[in-house]
Amino acid sequence: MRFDLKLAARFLLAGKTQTGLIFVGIAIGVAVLIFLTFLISGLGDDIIDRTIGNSPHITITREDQPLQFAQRSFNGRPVIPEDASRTTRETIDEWQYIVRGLENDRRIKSVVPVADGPGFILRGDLEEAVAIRGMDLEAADGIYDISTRIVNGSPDLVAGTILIGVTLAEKIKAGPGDAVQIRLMGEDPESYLIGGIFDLGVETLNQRWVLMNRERAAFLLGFENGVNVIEAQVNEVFQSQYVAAEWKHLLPRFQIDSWEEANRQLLVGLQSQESSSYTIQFFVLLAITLAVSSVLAISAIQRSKQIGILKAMGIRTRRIGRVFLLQGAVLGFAGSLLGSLLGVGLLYFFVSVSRTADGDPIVPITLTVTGISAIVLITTAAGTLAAYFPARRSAKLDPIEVIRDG
Amino acid sequence: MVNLLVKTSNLVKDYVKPTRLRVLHGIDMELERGSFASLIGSSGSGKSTLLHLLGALDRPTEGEVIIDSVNVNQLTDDELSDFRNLKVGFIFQFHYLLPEFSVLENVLIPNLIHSDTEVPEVRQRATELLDYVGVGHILDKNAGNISGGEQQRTAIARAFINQPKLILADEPTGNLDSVNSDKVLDLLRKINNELGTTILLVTHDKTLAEKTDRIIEIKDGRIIADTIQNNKQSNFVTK
Ligand SMILES: Nc1ncnc2c1ncn2[C@@H]1O[C@H](COP(=O)(O)OP(=O)(O)OP(=O)(O)O)[C@@H](O)[C@H]1O
Ligand SMILES: [Mg+2]
Repeated sequence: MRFDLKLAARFLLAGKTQTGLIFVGIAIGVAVLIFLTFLISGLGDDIIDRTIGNSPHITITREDQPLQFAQRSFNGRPVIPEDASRTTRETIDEWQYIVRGLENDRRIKSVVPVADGPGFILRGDLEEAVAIRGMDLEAADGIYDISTRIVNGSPDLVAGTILIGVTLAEKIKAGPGDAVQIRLMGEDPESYLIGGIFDLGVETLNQRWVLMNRERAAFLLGFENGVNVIEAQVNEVFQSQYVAAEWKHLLPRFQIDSWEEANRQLLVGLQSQESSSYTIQFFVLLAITLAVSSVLAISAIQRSKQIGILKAMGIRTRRIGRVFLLQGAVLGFAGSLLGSLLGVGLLYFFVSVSRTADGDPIVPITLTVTGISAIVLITTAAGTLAAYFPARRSAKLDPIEVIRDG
Repeated sequence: MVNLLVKTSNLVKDYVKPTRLRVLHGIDMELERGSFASLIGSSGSGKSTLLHLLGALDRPTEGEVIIDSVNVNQLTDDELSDFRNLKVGFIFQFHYLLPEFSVLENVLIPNLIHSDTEVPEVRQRATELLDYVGVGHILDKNAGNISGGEQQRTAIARAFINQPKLILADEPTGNLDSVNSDKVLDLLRKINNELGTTILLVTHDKTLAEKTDRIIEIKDGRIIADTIQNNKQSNFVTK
């Protein structure tokens, strides 16, 4: 084996230009492969994160009417406003029991019971329709990260205090410490104090959400300390529909929705993005394989004298084949190592030049060692495979033909 | 009884492409251990074909080749490879060094085929052999960048590295001028004398052949003469 490797290496090194060109060719191919693969998967992750990073993956309600989830177009702009349509007053009486059950499910990351209903906010002669959201701040942070998104004031949700979004604050011209009134349809207004202003990064929420203490909201909405919505996030976002289906089985009389069911189109988009990534990978690999194959085929012809004399001197047929397979493997491995470096460099460059105004990368890219190793491994395999026909051809060579012809 | 290294009986070789052609017509031949014989004959008479059969590079159509008590016919392809590697040393007209390797490495190749890794004693032997054939001063030179005479000497050293019983040389001086040809022949003679290796030399050159101990002449695939040189007596074989 060591001698085979030595032969392979010498044959490769002897054809410097040829080897150099194919080596660089493989490296460029692999660099493109790495760049596109990680970019596309980064884009996919980004879209998912933007879409559902801070919204519930699973929602449980009493009524049969499905809830509307955050749906956004690919550039992150909202398409359908969240939740404003939820008008149910059917409360979930056994909500504490269900919440505890959800919290014990290892697949579920966070659970937020919500007292949710429509209302109006008033300040002076300004009035806006809003969604009253009664949540425990600690639980709510599990999905919405409210505490860290307070841009003004403090995130405390003591009774009598509310948090409103930046857009709503502008509309009613109010800030922390200001008093406002909230009323339900056909009922008398009640006074509240604005404790803080949040920016959840989504226009609709910033405009419509009024966050308050859950018990207070329940009282206001007439829920008698109950909630009407339970929201949850799962650890594996693509498990949400299975988790939802299981809970549906346990709680047949509830409406249980998952973001996956509500975002079919987005998922189809992501899937086609993924398959375009596979297509690119396939063709890059095919190009590499064909290039290696043709270079080695030429090399095999160029070295037929050497092969003939080696066979005359007693090298076994299979070993000659192995020398060429090794050449393919070495080319694939070395080329993909360099290509990985290039690709990673390219990604770093891309991330460093494409930043948002805040200096965050536009596409958050996560490089994984397994991902890169897989590409190196696959390219090495492709190189070896590419060498198969040249290898078989040279192994079969009859030494006498070579010796006779001189 | 004489000690035989090579014995062929009724050796027949047909080529089927492009048309069926019988090149060897029942060759019976024996080579004694330690002998230095030459094989002459006009072009196309079948010298190389016979040499390839003797060197286990090819299989006969009929008949047997027995070398060092091994019936070559009965070996598998891999066994034939190993047999060539260990028992036979080839020297060809076109020197066929591997230009990707140095002079010393070329000499080591037959041994590396066998042992895979370099053995210090073999390396030592290789340098000695290269000294012996007179190219000890260019060990590390690239084999592609040395003169024809130097290449042929290197090829000779290579043929001996595994200490084979039999050396087969197919017109080893065909590409060399007369001065270098004589040097190569002297070298083979010296090796034959000192190491006792059996050598069969194919040549066109009668004067070169006359420097060996025995001249076997073939014509149209048949041995027509077999002459012992030492006592200058020729005994024609009638078949
Ligand atoms: N592979 C082959 N296929 C068909 N015919 C062949 C083949 N090899 C050799 N021959 C024919 O067999 C005959 C003997 O060839 P061989 O090479 O043994 O002769 P030779 O005595 O070595 O000649 P030279 O002195 O020119 O080297 C020639 O007629 C040649 O054309
Ligand atoms: Mg010949």
